[in-house]
Amino acid sequence: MHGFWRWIAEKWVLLLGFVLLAYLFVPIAVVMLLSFNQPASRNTTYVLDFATFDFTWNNWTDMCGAAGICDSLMRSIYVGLSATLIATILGTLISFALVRYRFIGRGSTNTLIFLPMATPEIVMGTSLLTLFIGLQIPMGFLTILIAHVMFCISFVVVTVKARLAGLDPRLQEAAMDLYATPWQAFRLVILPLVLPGIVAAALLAFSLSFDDFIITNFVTGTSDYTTFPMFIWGSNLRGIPPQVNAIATAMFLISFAFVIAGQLRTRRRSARRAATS
Amino acid sequence: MTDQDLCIENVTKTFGGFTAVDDLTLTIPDGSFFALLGASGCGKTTTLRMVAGLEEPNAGRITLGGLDITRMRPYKRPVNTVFQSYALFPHMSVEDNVAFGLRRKGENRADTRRKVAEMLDLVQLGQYGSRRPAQLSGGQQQRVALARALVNQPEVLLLDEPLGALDLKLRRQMQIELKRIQTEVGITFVHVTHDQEEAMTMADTVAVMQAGRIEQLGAPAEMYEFPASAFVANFLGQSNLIKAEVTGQADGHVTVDAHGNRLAVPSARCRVTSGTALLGVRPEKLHLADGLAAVPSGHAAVQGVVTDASFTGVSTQYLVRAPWGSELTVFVPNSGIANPALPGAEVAVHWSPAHSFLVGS
Repeated sequence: MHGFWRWIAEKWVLLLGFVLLAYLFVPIAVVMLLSFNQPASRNTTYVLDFATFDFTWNNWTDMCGAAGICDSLMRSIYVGLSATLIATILGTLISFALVRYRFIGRGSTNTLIFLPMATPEIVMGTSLLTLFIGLQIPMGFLTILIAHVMFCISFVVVTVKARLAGLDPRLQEAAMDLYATPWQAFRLVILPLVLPGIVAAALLAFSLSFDDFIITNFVTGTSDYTTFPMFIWGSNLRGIPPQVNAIATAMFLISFAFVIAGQLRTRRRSARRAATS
Repeated sequence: MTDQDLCIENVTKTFGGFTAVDDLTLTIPDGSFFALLGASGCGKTTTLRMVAGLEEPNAGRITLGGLDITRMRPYKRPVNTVFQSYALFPHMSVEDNVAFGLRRKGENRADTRRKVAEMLDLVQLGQYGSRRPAQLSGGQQQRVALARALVNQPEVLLLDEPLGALDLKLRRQMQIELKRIQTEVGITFVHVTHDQEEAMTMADTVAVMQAGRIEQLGAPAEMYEFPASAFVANFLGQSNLIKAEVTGQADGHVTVDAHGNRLAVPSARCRVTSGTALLGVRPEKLHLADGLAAVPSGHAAVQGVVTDASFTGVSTQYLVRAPWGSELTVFVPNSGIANPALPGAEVAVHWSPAHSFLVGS
């Protein structure tokens, strides 16, 4: 008994760690598991019962089997990519302006850029809806795109700015001193050094856009431009098709692959550095 | 005047209400090692940046070999800079850093490779071409920065406190190294520093700057022996400055009254010849004697009491309080004969009038 308590005392941090990891990963594991289940009816898509578990590959082989599921997925990817592209370009330019130049209104821009991050989505959704109605802009792809670009920009600015702020401004001067035109200095020195920040910002923007529900729900209005999160929400009333679990698992695995690739890259680079020094 | 002299003519640069460089006129001869010396904020770095094209003067003209470069873009000037923080490109190898300028100028591959290799050998980094800057020590990074600028064979090389980040021993080593390289390549070096010893060790000509203007310009020894002002006397090495009233001129000497002591300074060593002035003598040119009777004839002398003696190895530094209250610093070389004076001892401080100088107060 004495030995048991000592063992607990020594390992409790480790145990706590495992409990915490389980807390984080169990929901994902459930979705993964359910992606191989053939539910008896659509209302039992999220019932994990090992007694009635019916193993199947159908959800994976017939991902687009449920009506509208892949259309909504493609819309989400399309909106996500468009919003990411626009928000990343605009956000990067804003970051450069804020870090590199002194101008009237710089201080207030620096503060106001945080506002969309701090505003509750429900507030932003309703005010955007009011705005679009007032301006008589027809709801649909365009309004969703405008809304997504808007809330993604703040995150892009914050991410890229952090990277830029750590950059020695003399690097640009050094490049120009070594006969590089301003454009060459940007392309050959500044861009490669800021690129990791821009890529991180783009990934963040895409994932924010891809899974946004609240704002999107408002600015879709009565149009039939249903994104993937809205499709799931809508089918929740009629019963969620089991393919959703397969798509969710696939999405998780893709993002997981990104993370692993990033980790491997960093590890390989530090290994190479260690080998040469 | 040779072809590639760098001329700065009546240049002024202000930042908001602050005048960093004030009507500066300066000629830096082709092939010289020129040091701009001054405390931080004196305008020396701003001057350098205007020559590099990184700042534009508000007024005045900068010419290089007769060509007006005042408003020429930095990437069009035949001038390269070694930055204080080195500003090496962290994502490129040492070789790519050094090759950067040549590639922008469109040199062919073979020439670029050969020149880069030669330059890395010159700075003794031949083995390190494929490394990243972060994998090098501070001294090695400094040499990459030098190689990256020099490989372009600029008309003028600008060095902005290039040794500031190095420790003392490495700094001494790099001073000698830089001097060697300058002699080898024969390019004009303009070296900005706040370290007077560094400026004197390396440069042929030193310009002491203060508040955007040049206080004095000349060869290091010349300036040290006969400074133009109290500021230069204190900035270049140490000086004992004694307040004195000019009383007259006779026989090629200016006579002064310093706190009741009648002293003489050769006229040729006087920057002022009337009114209130400062009589200066360097600490190593002061000598100690047991009393006024022991002072050699022809030497000027004042009496005092030793308040502090510190042994530094090569010399002993004494502080002697003069009757008027201020302290004189005396360096006595440790040549192993004199018996040391102890604090509290009554002494006479004496010097040859030829070693003193008179500057405006």
